[in-house]
Amino acid sequence: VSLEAALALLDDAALEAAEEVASALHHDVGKYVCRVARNVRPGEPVPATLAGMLARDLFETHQGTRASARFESLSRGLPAALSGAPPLVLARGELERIDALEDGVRAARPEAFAEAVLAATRLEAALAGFAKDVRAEQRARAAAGPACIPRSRDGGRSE
Amino acid sequence: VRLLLIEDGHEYEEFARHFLADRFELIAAHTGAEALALLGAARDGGRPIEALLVDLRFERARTEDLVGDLPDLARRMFAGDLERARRWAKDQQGTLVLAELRKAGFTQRAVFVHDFPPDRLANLRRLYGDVHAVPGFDAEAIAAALAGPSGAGRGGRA
Repeated sequence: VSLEAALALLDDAALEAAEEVASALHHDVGKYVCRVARNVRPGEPVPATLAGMLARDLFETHQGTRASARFESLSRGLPAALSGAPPLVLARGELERIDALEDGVRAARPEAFAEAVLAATRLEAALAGFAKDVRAEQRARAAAGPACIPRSRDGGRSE
Repeated sequence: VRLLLIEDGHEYEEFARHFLADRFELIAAHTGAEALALLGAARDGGRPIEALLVDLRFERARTEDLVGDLPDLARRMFAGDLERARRWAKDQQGTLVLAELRKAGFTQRAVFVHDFPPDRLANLRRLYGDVHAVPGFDAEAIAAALAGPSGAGRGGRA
């Protein structure tokens, strides 16, 4: 099932819940796994001074838990219709890849660093895209009628 | 350029020490109250802080440290549900902290590391002035956003 089709199945309340989770996935998992990955050139060696930080990005990212655990914990809040959505399947695959690289990353093996950086970058892109698509559906419904109007997030001070 | 990092943990600070420390003098705050105190002390000491790098979500913050009137938020936005209001205040804490700083007269450029939709960013700018956002921890993009024209160099008018 495409993400678009799965989103269309959700009622407004479920879509709002999905938007909250998608945004948290992008923030808590996608953004933090890439603190190092975004700042090294793909294929170039990761400096040894960044090894500890890269390991924290991947395996101790959210209050000491690994990115994959945070992903699973947050994903449980998604409506069932989205559980097999392509971006989430892709993200889960990248997280499995990252977890399999743990020994190599912690041992500062350059090939493990390089692979982890690529996987983290793909993971962030998948979760960013997911969050964006969920938001787009919410906005499309808001534009179509008053049934689903996203709540202002700026302290209730809307335009 | 003196840069104040505002976050509930230490992830921004660790990132900045690795990737921004050669371009910015870093100072860290972990609550809105601490940020206000540091900004005030820096201004009064004649070495104002010139830019802000602000985390959006403060999910680890203690309730008593949160900026925002939770009962009022609950009443206005969540039909009196205090728990939902608390969750929302944590999710949006960075913007609520920024509102407090602006109210106190600190007009420095604020940069969020967050992928805001364009209309949301426009609303933040309308409310809080010099606000920028960078979607991820991209050091070059963050440095450019922090130091761009009309940003760094303004010390706040309070």
